Amino acid sequence: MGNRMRVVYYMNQFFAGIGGEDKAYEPPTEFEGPVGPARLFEKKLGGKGIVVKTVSCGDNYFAENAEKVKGELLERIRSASPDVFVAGPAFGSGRHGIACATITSTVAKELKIPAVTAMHPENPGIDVMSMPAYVLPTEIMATTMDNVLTRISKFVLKLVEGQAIGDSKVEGYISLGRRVNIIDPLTGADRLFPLLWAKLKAEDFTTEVPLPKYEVIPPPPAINEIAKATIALVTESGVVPKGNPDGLVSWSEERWFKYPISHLDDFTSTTHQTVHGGYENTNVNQDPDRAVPLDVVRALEKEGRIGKVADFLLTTSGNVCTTDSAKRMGCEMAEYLRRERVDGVILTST
Amino acid sequence: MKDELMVKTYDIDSIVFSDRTAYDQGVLSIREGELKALLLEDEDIGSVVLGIARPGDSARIVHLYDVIEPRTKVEGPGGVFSGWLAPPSGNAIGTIHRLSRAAVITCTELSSEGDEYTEQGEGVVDMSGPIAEMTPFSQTVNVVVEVKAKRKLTIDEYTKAVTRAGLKTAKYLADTTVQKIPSGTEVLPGRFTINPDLPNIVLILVVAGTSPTLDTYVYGRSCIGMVPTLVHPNEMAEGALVAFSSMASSSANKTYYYQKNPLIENLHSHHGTRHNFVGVIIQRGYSYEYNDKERIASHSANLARFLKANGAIITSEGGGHILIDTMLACRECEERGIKTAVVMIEQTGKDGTGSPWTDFVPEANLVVSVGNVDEFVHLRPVKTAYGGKKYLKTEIAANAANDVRIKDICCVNSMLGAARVRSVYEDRK
Amino acid sequence: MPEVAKKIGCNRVVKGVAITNPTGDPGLPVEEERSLRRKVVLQALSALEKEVKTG
Repeated sequence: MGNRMRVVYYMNQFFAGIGGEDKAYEPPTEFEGPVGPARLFEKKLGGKGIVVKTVSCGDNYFAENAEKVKGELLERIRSASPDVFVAGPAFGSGRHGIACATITSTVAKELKIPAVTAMHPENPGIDVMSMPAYVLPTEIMATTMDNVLTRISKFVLKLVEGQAIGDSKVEGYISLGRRVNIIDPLTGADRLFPLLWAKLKAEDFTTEVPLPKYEVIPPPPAINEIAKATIALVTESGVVPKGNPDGLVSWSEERWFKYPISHLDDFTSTTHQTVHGGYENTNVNQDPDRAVPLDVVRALEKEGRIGKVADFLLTTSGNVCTTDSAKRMGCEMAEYLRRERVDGVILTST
Repeated sequence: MKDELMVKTYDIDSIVFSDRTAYDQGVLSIREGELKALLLEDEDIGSVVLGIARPGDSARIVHLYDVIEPRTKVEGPGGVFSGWLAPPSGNAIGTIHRLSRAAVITCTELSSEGDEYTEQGEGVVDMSGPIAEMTPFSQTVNVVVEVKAKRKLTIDEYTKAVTRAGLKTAKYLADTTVQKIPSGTEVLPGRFTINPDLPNIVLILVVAGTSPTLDTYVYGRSCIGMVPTLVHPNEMAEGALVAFSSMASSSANKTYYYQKNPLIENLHSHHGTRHNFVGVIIQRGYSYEYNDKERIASHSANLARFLKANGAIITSEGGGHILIDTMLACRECEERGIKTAVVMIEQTGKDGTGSPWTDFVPEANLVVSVGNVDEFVHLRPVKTAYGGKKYLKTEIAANAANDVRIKDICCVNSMLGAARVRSVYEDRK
Repeated sequence: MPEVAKKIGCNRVVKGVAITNPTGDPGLPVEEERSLRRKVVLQALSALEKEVKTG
């Protein structure tokens, strides 16, 4: 590639100068040459590349029409025959981050060219990034734009020159934490022993699977007057109305459902069943109270021990559910329960 | 008789069907009719189809049930596979013969009337191509024994019938080496000499024990309900443990790897130089109650402590809540000052972004990865399929292309450390 | 598995009966099973009424 490389650049409506939140519903559009931060970026390439096109889309329009926008933008980008794609930087802005991550990952996969974006490490856009696209870290505020564009330009030049990109910490990009299978020269049995011998000698060793880190969730305060409280029943045991009207699946489920229970004192084998594939279902099918204790909770409500049983059962099937799905569902359920002014939850799990 | 087990190895260069069953300088001939007749003596078996799948062949084995190394006992009390082909009174002294670079692979499509059982999973071996790189049994010459039941059997009867067929075949093939000159001989001592300056390491095998499709037989008896127990590695070499895991083929243990255990091989080869190998503990996994899991894990760790172990290697098989049994064993050992190395699959989802496990203990700070079982792999078209005509529970021809979860490929994610697949962070490949 | 629940950040965890029936026991006669279930639920309610600190 003796000539200057051709860059196509994406940014949201704000950075493209179209407008602020008032223009967040603008559909995809494009400009010839560099616009907004792409101008400074082009300068930083030092003559080695030019931005031939800038594409843009309103953040809200992107969020609500992602599939359509992906396709449209891809065509606009492809038609400019780029060698490289850059998006953002999105800094701390969630919608812009998700849009940048989405389009950058799509371009990397479909057009098979180097594709780089940048945003804050906790931007929700990180969760939708996928290799072979790259994302560089930034601060939350856009005050460091100049520094970020310098880093992106250096990184992009490295990629285009075919240089090998090494460890994320060394090279300055955000590791996506994605695990892939490889075939090692040695078997697991052979790799184990040097590690164990080192551990036995209290020497340093590196585990092959770092333990998952889970965030510390501060415990909500205790319920003061439980006799006045509304308690909801939530479960991952897969209990659903008989016939499974919404087709809850037995594994890798990503959805949850709510079913009315205010008319019920009890779950029985005629009214409900379970579809969870991760445990032997016979016991719960015979009596679903064995997984979701409605009979007891309803009795306690009648006795005045608790104020009220919430009107709906929230249910999903947690079998082989990824932690990301489970976390998302938990957040969604919590939102719903908060709106319904539920005070406490009994969550049952198999 | 000395307290040792002599193991004579006979290398296999090729296996062919011929007019007589014999071993001659690396070539094993099999008289097909004779072997079939032997297996059909079993009342429960209706039909047997034999095949030979060789490394490099454009061939695939499907419906894999078990893999066994051909072995026989020529000197000493009892025989191989105690409780199956010999009285259940294992006494691992004397001499056994083994065929190396060879395996018996049993294949079947389990079915049963009325019985509720956890369904059989597919088990695949490719003899050439990218998948062959991953599965260890692409490197062995495989005698494939495809078995069908004669009539309706319970699932317990069916799995036992297929198991018997595999073990009988394994012994039948190894019997050809009686009186022949081996390629190599190894003497495995019964008593270990302990070097007090070296750390003691125990191997804890957490094995499946829950149903006829997910079980482990010890001296011919299911391990369901069994408390953790000690065995000597020579007992395993003689076939004391037989696998009954017809699910999760990539991470289930196969009988072959109880006979020829890669961790035990390494434990032996560095015994007296880097560590002292002090024994093997068999721990039954898949108990349903948390109390049982704690009880069993604690008992296991107590046995390890009794053996004065400084370190413990802890394995698992299959997936699901047996991984809890394994992690609890890790915690209990570490609490007793026994440093652990755990061999574990990862379940990071189709795209590898999930967390590796939901069940773990903070003490598991040394884990050897044997790969993400959720990844998909592509099986390319091959010329010949053995073991079945279609992929299990599909209408796709077994020799045609297919995309399957890696968990269908035999032993690729073996938690005995037998294979080379592992997971790494993508950007640090 | 209570250990895991605690590890991943749950602050109020009550041990259930078994994997196949966290709030039941098919081995018991119906009345005793109800009693057992009530005991587990009361433990849960009592956890909701207790102040807890992160471990």
